[in-house]
Amino acid sequence: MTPEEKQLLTKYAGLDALTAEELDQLCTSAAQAIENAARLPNLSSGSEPAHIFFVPQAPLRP
Amino acid sequence: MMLHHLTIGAAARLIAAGRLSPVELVDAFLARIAQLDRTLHSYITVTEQAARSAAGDAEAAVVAGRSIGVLHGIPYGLKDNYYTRGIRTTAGSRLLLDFVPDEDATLHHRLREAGAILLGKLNTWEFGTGTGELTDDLPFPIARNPWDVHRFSGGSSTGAGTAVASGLAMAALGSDTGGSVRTPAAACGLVGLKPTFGRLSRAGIVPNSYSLDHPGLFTWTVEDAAILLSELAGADPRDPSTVDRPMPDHARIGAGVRHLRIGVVRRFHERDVAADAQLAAAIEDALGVLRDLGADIVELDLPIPLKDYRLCTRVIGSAEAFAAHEQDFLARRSEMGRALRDKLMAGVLIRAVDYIKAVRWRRELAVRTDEVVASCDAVVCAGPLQLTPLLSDTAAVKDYVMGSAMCVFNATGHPALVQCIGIDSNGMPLSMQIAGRYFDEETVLRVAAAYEAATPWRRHRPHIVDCEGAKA
Repeated sequence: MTPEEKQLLTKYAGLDALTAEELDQLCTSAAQAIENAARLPNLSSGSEPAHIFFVPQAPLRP
Repeated sequence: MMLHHLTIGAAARLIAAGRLSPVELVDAFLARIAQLDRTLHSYITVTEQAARSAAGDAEAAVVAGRSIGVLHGIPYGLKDNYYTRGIRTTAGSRLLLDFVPDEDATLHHRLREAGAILLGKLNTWEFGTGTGELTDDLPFPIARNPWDVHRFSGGSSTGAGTAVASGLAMAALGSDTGGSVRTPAAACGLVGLKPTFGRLSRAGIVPNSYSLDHPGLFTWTVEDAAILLSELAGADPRDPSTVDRPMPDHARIGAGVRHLRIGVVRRFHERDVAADAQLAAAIEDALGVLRDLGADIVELDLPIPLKDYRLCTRVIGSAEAFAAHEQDFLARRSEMGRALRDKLMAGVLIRAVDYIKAVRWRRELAVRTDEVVASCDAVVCAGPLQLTPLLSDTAAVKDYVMGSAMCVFNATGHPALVQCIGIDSNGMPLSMQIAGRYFDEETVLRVAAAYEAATPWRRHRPHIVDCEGAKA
């Protein structure tokens, strides 16, 4: 990654004043996020209720 | 009678009969903490004065003949990410070293109302989270495993496992986002129960992941877990994820397993991961015990590999942890330990679309898993997949935490329990996991209770050597 790209990535992440170590960690995290995203399945859309969040057999409120 | 080895059930019966004083009981635990915790580091804060005062009040209630419940006078500990009014709550972090809440976590409140007595706040990885990476940059020394102080005690509820296993608390509460109750319970040879998502309130517990966090409990016996659960369960207006469902009846957990249909999921320890051979053999032995007790053991084909649950919970957990702690991360990350900083950094760049994909996928994983779980009364599978490692073997520690099968039931929300099923060649406890249908903790506990009663493992206690070389 070029210094300019790293700067852009930092700005996108909402971070500033990163140490060199933190910047390296951010780049590693970015790579991991890209790798994880590529492994997530593409589920078909529109086949589920609008309520997508997980609640086991229960209403949201008692 | 060694008071620190009493179970909740036994102590409650003695207190109710007037044969055991809550003052005597609390004094015994405080004395043992003073003797051993310089070696074990299970407590961050010991609330000695408040505990003695509460014990005095508890004793006065007994003497006055007032009606008392089953937890009256029972000493317990709380992971230090539970809010305790007027008592420092650090969550194991430099960021919260001086934080004194002005409210109680709901579960702590319920225990106090039931007459239980807080002994103190228990050690934890920072903010109750982590990846198994052990660093020396936290404000408190790492808790030690009482079975071997050179071995890992599990995490993130490190002090809870250590305290209950070593007789420094009769029970403890922790939190479990990816196994943080069940892993230390397994490493320390305890019963560790993560009930169904929504069964226990999370109000007043420092959040880690909004949708994966589950409160959980540590006890020496299955009966004690059942007693605690029945006192803690129930809807809480302060936590909208909680629901009112019929309470588990701890009186029914002794019904045995005859004719129960118990499924076994082998893929985690046989196909997905090369589990340790001693562990795999112990699980087979445990299944044999349940079969001999009359259970119908059936093979289950769970069509989802462990790596799918891990990926799904990693994306959700990282994004939610960063959302929970973004402001602290931006303003004070230099005060965080490296393990937490790295974990939060992993959540910074997860795209909204990927988080939503993971949430949708989670629902599918939960539904498909539930089809398998609901086909039986309970399911047995592995929890940890390796033997408890030495603290010095950092790679093995990380693998023990991140490579376990615990996250499956954080993803799906099913109740899951670990219990001791043997002792390995290093003298450390082995364990299995028992999961059940949503809100059917009672059957999970029933299976565990039958196994516990038929095996000798509750008669084995760790032999602790304190820092001055004395055995306890």
